Amino acid sequence: MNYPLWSIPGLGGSWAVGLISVIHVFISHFAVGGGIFFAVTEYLALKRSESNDLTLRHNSEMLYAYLRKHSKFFMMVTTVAGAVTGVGIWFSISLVSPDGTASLIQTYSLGWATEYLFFVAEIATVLVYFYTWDKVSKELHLALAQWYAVLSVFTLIIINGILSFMLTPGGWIESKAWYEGFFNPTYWPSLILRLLVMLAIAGMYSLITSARLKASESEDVANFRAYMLKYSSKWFIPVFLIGPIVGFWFFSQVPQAVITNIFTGIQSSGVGNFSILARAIYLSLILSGTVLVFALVGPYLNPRGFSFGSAVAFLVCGLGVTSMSEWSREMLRKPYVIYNYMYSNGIRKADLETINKDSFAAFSKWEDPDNIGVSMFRQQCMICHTTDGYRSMKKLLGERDLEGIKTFLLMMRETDPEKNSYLNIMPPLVGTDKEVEALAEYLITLKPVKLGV
Amino acid sequence: MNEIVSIPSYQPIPFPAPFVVLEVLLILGFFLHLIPMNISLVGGFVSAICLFIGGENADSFYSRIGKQLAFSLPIFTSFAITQGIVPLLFIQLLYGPMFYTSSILMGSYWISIVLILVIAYYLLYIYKFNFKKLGAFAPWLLIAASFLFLVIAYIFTHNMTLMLQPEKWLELSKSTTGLALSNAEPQILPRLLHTIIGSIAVTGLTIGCFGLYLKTRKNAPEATLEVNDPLITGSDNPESYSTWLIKFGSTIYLVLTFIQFLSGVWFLLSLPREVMLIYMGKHLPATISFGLSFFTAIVSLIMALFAVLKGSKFAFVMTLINALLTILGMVFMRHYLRVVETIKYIDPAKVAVKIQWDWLFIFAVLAVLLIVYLGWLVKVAHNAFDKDVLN
Repeated sequence: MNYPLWSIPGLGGSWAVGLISVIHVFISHFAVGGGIFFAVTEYLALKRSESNDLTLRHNSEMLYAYLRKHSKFFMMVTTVAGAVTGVGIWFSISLVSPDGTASLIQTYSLGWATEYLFFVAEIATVLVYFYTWDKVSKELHLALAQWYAVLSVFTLIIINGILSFMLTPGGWIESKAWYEGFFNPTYWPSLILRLLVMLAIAGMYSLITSARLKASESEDVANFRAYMLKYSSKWFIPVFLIGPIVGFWFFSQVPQAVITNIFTGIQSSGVGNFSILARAIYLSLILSGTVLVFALVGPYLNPRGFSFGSAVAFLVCGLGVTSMSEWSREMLRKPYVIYNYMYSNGIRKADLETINKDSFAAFSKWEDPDNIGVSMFRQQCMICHTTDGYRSMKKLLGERDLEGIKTFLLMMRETDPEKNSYLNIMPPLVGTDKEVEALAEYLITLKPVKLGV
Repeated sequence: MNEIVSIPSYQPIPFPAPFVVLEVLLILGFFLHLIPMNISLVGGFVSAICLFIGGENADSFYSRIGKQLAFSLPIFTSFAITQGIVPLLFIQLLYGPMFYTSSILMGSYWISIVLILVIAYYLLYIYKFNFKKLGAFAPWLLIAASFLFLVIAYIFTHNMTLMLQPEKWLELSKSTTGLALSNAEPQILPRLLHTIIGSIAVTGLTIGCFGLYLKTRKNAPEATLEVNDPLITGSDNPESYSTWLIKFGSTIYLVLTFIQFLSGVWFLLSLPREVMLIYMGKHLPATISFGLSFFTAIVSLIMALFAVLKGSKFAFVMTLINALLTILGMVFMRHYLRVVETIKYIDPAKVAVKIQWDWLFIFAVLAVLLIVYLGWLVKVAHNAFDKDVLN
């Protein structure tokens, strides 16, 4: 490995990435979906304000008041927590996966620079949008919402290329041409799936603002509250109808080995990480289904009985689905950080042979000649494992003795899937026999000493 | 003498544009980040002090600018973050082998920036939307926010210094918790102090810009009306709010920039001798940036003196232009410091380049469109606030 290691004791480093990313995804999807929500809803408000029908004109006034309130919430969430966690993802991935991050940045610096342009425009627009309520004409204010929607969709169009590149780099592996990696096999299904999810998330956040309207104030407010709840729940419909088809399309584009991994997980339910992956995908599907069913029986069919607490429960479920599906997406990519190119511990697939021939020491910048075993563990294992916390090495070693560990490690070094059954889940071990031995000798010291046996 | 580890290598993937283009983007990106960052860094302190001076009297000029500056801080913070993306991207690209390493070595502090920033940012909004309810307690929120930004500045300064000192890495890499700091480093404190003082000076200019803005507004005649009330103006002479702002802001700039000269000398002397000498003729671009920013700094001080005494619009604009040029020159100086300190270990100019012409073209076109779009947005906002600029 090129870089030293940062790890939270007991948790590892990847938790920091996971935590920040999940929060960011949930907010940034709101930022994009919410943009479309504002553009559409404000369009309705404007059209209705021009109507001859008094009820519609009244509804328009209520809609404007609603949007104004909702836009404060929107701006406070997206420009602060959303923007900071977005930069935070960079901070965290560069700590946990510096080689992977550097590879993405060297390949897509101009992609990110372009993303920045749209991001600046997006943030500036939302600020002007929020601060100009009642200060510009209704038409101009709607135009700002529409600009915002378009700009924020473009931020997705760009970042989606880089994100999906990591799972399915496609022709880039051979050609190293940016567009082949960018418009990769999962680019379009990911883009559409994310857009659909974004609309649903926009609906979820809108349920919150709607549910906060006080029905007890007057019959008028109670009616409008019911109207808004029902309206918000309609934003779930696209993902409900089209989501499964696009999801199927997405999975049809994913490498076969990944699919095999999921199903191995399902068959051997109960052991190892990949049964967890299968469960996470199940849970994500069940939770999404639950959200959709509840959206139907709750705010859609029975808006008057829908409480603020239920709206928060929706948001929590949404966060749950986001966490599960983003986590699954990350797991699908294992053992790679860029599929078929670089392993999650930063070692390039192309370098395996050279390292095994020369030695890991010749390759690693941080190997301590006095503590080869510790260095091997840090550089190759600790990116995912801890000694006795998350994915505890102590636990995984089980009852093995030194010989047992050694045999296991030598098996882990094989690059033939027939000989190394872990190849689909973990990067192969690299290093000379001596280095593997040193690692085994270090690992045996992790085992608790059993007294009186 | 500490053992030097071998420096991590670049990824075997070519850079997508010529080195000089990427370098310019790094420098200009940092410049655009620096200005709003300066204001959000110390703006909380400055506005809280103004609010304290103004006290109970909400009409006093100090209270007014204290509130207006504090109200603008979330926007400056937003700019600071969005503009920070460019230098963060290009420092990773060009100096990644050193930057990633030092970030990892102090990883726990580095990642904590995310949380600290969110808290500080929300404090500014809590002030903005609740200052009436909070009463006398409100300015303390601004101070708390500034303090948190200061912690971030410290962590950044530490990282930017540590990345230039591979001799310290091996020792720090023995722990994986990322909790070790090399505080003994003589550069960090003067470097941080240099940033803080400069930030207050820039905030002074911002206050002056508020005055300049009010003077150009036709619909805010009360901003240019002279007030003859010491309780409001804080002096015995009649003064209009806009002129007072220019004088007050220029005073802050003048005093702080003068102090900055002294702290700058300290910073310069804290650098290793051979590095210091790059500004004294050993490295031509570094010496030119030093000379030019020294010259524009002197001009800006003279102009600031006129602005303080006369409150003149012209003198202030000249101060502003020269101050910005000084800052730009200093950003170049800072860059050359990094160049000479890293060239022993890595040279981004030697990394293979395969120009992504198509994407470079798209980026350039979009960058122009962005500027046009932002111009339109500014116009929209400018017209929108035509009627109530004073609130």
